[in-house]
Amino acid sequence: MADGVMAGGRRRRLRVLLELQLRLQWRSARGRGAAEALGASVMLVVVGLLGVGAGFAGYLLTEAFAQDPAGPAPALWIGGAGLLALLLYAGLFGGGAGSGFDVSRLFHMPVAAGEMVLADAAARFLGPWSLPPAAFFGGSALACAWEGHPAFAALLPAALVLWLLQAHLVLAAGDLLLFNLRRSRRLMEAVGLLGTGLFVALLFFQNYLATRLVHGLAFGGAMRWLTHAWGALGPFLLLLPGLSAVSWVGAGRWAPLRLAAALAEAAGLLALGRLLLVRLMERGSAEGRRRTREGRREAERTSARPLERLAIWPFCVKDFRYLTRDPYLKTALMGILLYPFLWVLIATGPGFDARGALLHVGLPLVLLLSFANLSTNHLAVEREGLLLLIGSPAPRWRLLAGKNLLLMGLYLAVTAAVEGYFVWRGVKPGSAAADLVMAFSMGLIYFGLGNLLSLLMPMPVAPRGRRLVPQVSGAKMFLVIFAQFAMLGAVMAVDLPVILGRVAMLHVGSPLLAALALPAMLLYGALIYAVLLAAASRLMASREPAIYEALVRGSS
Amino acid sequence: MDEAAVAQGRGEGGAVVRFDKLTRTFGDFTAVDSLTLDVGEGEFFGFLGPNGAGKSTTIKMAAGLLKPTSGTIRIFGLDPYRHPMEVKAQIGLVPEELALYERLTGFESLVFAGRLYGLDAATARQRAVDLLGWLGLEEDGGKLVVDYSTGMKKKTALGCALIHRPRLLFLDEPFSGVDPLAVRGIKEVLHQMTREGTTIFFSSHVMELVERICTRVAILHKGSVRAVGTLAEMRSAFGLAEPATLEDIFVRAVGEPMAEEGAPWLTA
Repeated sequence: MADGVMAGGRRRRLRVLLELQLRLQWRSARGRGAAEALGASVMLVVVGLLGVGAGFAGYLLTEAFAQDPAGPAPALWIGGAGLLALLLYAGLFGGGAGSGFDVSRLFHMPVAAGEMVLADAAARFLGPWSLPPAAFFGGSALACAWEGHPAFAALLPAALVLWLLQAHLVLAAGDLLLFNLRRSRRLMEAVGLLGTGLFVALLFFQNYLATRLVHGLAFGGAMRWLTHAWGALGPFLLLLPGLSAVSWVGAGRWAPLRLAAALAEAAGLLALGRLLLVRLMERGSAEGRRRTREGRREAERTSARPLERLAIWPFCVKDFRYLTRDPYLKTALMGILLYPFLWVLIATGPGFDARGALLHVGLPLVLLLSFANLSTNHLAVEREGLLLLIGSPAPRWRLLAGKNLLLMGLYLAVTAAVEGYFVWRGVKPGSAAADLVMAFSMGLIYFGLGNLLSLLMPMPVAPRGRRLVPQVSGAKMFLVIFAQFAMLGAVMAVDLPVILGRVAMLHVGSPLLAALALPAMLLYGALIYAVLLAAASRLMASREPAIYEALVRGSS
Repeated sequence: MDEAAVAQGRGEGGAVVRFDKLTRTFGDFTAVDSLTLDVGEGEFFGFLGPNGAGKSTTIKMAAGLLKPTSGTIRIFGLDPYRHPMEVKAQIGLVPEELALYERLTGFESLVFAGRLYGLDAATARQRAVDLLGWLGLEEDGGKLVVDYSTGMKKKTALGCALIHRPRLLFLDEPFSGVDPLAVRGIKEVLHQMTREGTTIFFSSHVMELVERICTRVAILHKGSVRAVGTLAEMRSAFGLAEPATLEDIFVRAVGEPMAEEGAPWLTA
């Protein structure tokens, strides 16, 4: 019998797993030495600041409810639900709170599925991103003690532990669900749409509620709606993960029942995670057989369609296939297509100045920002295919232009749809064409600059099967995000003649001016793009070894 | 050891690949150390060495994917770093990590590779169909590469490297995971290609395979060439008689047998 298999047992295996996971949780950077130290420092500063903010939020929220007849419990409910939503938002969609650990590397080891899930959750529990929620509960406990609820305060540490356990088990199960979804592409498409819808709805409520509450006029109505909804659904909502972990505190005679429900949920989440992991370990995909039939028909056709004869076509179609087949790119694509419409709904809602600058100059910039991750790090998304690209003699301008052409097409389609909606709503009749031309010019410059950023600051993406989150140091991540926002400023600066022309058209309103200005705006954008593309293709030829080292060697 | 016999050899018809004091370091680690080597036209050249010897790094430099720290490379007389497009148009590469798009089908991957190398759409499609048949992937051409086995991925990568009929082919461990029948078929075609003038630079750590298929071999260890030549030349250089295998030559050239002690619990 091999050594060690049965010796030591579950406890030892859990400890080993936990040590491994913790090491990965606290390791912020792929670099060594100064880069790792800087990344760790940045991460700790950010986590620390978030902790301080969360602590204050916990204190103030609890203080506000302390004199309420129901006691400070509602503060915990709001905090527990809100923190869980943020954790899921960051962990599943943003990747900030999740681990970068590929659990499939342990499948051949003698480790039980339940042990893997438990170790994953425990490692997240002890990871840096547990600090903000802990600070929230700490602030809340302080407020309870200060406002005369010492018993309440004494129970909060236990509530915190239970909340963290539930939250991280939800995150672990959610991660495994994403893993599983890769194996069934139809189910993945459906859930990807649902996930995007939830993501977009979350953003909508963030923006909608923020504008409505800040505006003030609808405050009373919104609060009445919330109170009414809570009255009807509250008892059921308090049983949900994140809420049940805290709703037993101060619940009187209902406390034992709610505590039991919270513990049962944690056990249920662990069981769910285990089940998902076991399913993940099973091999086989029904999709493969379906593909074979389709593939054979495709392979029988050896003549080329007209569009295929274009030299740039293979690059566009390859990227399009990836956008529609890779699960995480598909989610990003759904967000690109849906997210702008929510901004439109907000911008054209009651109480909002529909003639504001946002709808003319700001809207293209907002739309371009949704393309940021796809257009400023597009070589990294190639993953191993990058070797095929940079190992080929294909003209580099064609390669880059093919990528830009696809994204430009998507961007213009979304922009045209939004402009069409404005025309239909009567928001800006007659000016949609001019705004579209300005957006076109801005888009060309943005994607042209994005090529340069992709070449100068390439970041490896997550290993296959994970979220599309770069596995780089926090410091570099912040730098890239800053650069993406700075690019918008650069676009406005470079495209200033076009913007000024558009503003002149708004004020003068002369058809002759429009007839002269619109072609000039188009030509200006095209010329700037041509210059940027030429610069990027020259840069790419000289940067390819560095890009290869950063993306392919660095990510393996 | 006969130094003259271990000096770099020149293939007939001039050197297609020339490395001159080629060096590549990664921080404090020297992956390739002053490597000097010539490979002639039409050779099936074996680049043999254990894991970590510097084989893949050398191939990446030759393909223009890594910049040498010092020294020079000439591919068809051109520097791949200064003339990357001209060099890349003439070579095919099967890297160890497989340059494939996992979300494309096998057929799509081959067509895309063909278009990358400048083939028109119809030619690329036709050659992709032919390659799928030759590589035994006609039933799987419509599957996504992500669903392929390792051997199928290797075959697809080989197809991508051959679709444009390169004059020089760099193969980095191309047969690991490939079934023996397919290996035999691929070897025969590759030998036919060398008879027609294509040069093949074949890197592997499997000595038996290199010994069987290569006409000349270089033994690489810790980044530097320890021996180069035909099997007969190397036997002569190291004073070994006829049945001596490449493994025997390798051990003599490297001079560092694996430690017999160090893991006694393995054999306890």
